[in-house]
Amino acid sequence: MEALTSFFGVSAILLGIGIYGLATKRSAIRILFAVELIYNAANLNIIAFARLRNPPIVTGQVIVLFSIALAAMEAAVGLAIIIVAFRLNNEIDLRKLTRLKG
Amino acid sequence: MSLIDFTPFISLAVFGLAVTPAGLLGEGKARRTIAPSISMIGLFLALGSAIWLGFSAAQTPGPGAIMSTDIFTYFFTGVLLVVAIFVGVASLSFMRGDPNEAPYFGLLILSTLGMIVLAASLDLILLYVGWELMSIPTYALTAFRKSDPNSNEAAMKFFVLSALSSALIVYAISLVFGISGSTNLIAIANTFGSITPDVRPFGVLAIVLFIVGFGVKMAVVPFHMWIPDAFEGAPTTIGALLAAGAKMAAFAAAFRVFIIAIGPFHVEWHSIFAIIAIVTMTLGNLAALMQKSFTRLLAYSSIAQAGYIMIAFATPNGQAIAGGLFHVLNYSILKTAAFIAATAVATRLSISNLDSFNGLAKRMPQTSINIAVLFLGLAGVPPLSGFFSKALLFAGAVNSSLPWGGYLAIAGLLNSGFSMGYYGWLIKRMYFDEPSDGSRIPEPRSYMAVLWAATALTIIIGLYPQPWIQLSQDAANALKVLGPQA
Repeated sequence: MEALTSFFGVSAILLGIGIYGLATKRSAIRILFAVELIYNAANLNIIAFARLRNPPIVTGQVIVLFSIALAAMEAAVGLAIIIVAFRLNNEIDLRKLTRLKG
Repeated sequence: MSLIDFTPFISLAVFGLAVTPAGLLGEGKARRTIAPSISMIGLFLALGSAIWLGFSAAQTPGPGAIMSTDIFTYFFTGVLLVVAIFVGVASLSFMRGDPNEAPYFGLLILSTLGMIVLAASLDLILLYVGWELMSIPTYALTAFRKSDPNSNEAAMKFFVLSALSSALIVYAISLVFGISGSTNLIAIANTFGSITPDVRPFGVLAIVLFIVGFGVKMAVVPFHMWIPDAFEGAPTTIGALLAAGAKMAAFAAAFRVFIIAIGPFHVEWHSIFAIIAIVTMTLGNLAALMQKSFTRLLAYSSIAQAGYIMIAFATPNGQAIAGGLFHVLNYSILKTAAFIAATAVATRLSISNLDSFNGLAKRMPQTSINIAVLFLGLAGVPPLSGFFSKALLFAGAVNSSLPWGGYLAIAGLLNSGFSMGYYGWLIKRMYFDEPSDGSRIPEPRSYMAVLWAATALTIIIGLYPQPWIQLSQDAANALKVLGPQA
């Protein structure tokens, strides 16, 4: 139980840093970092829950493998969009995207 | 359960993967027609098999099933495939001559596959895979016009919020997995029914994260900010896919998770949905009234419609869920077609300025009559389909034992009346105002095919609502059977 608490604590801190980054950063790349931190917080959680359960469950490792692969795909498409944005505007600051407005 | 039951999924997977390389085959004119024809065959095969299987082979999934083949699955599969077919047929004109036509259709089909996997999933791993399979192609499709800064900006805003929603859903899954030790929705429901007080806070956190995660894709207030920008900047046909397809698939996932898995959790989470529903419909309608651009008007009206469907979560009795599902069906048809109408108008006129709709009835008579019928359907005028789904939904809210049912119904009725303000105002512009330029504008045949099909469906569902209500009720029962037996 002790170990589970510390794993969960680290994961909660990662989630907090991720949400803080999303709220305060302006660069699209940094926002992508923040999102990846939240993914990794979740992955750490799942692994800890699966490993420290009595008896351990193997499903947790399967979820994490899926989650890592899918997060990588999402990051790849996201980076492609960011590269196109940089070519078009010489800028990846999200607050300066004001072309579309009501 | 056999492989035949999964024909819609297999068909989309095979054809979706085949379309992109097929674009490299042939020369000249043949090269341009091969990929769209293959993708159309795939979509129609999937829709046909979904309808046939829905009537002949729907069954309640057994314990431990990962994918369900019940009537709820086939209901959503049918709705989402109709959306995909409308978008695909309109894209035949929209993408004509584009060098990247084949990848466009390939991404469209794979995204549709993600949506129907989402609707079928009974396991959180599969739900997450379906979620990403739906989302990732839509990012690429939104950014499809590589040299258009608007398209790219829309994709950036959409991507950031959508990636956040996926990440939060994984975190919520991790918490639910930690509490219950399982990823199966039915097993989770059994654990959540007898939850101990010391893990209750984690359950509450998981619910909040699920609401935020699904809420971004369902575009409920306060997670709706990306919708107007994304719909305006994206290629207009993709706006239709996002507004009707991705959004309704997110509702399917939310139905699965909230009604089945978290249903027995004894915390007042239904009241959160009641607040979200009222705020969403009111804010969507108010903002829609102030828009100057047709696509933004459609975007805010789609936010308001999401508010109506949220009533089904706030008062989860059989009638309200059936009403919610029936409204999903009607909304998908109406909203997809409204976006296709926007595409048809946008080929010659500016849709960012509503003045170009003045006297449109003289310039594009077919488009105008269809927009008028679709808007009246969205507003819920009696002989059309939208009226019956809203009536069922509000009746379900009134008959609910929960204290906020009556308020939800009143808010829904007031909002429906209020929404006639902007729907009626646009119809008045098209029919009673004088155009600045009276010349006729050509109306491409593939757009008109979609519009007439949608209008016909709207009128048919409106005139013979009984079988469709029965279908929604069967789907709602199939969903409730898996949930907690109260």
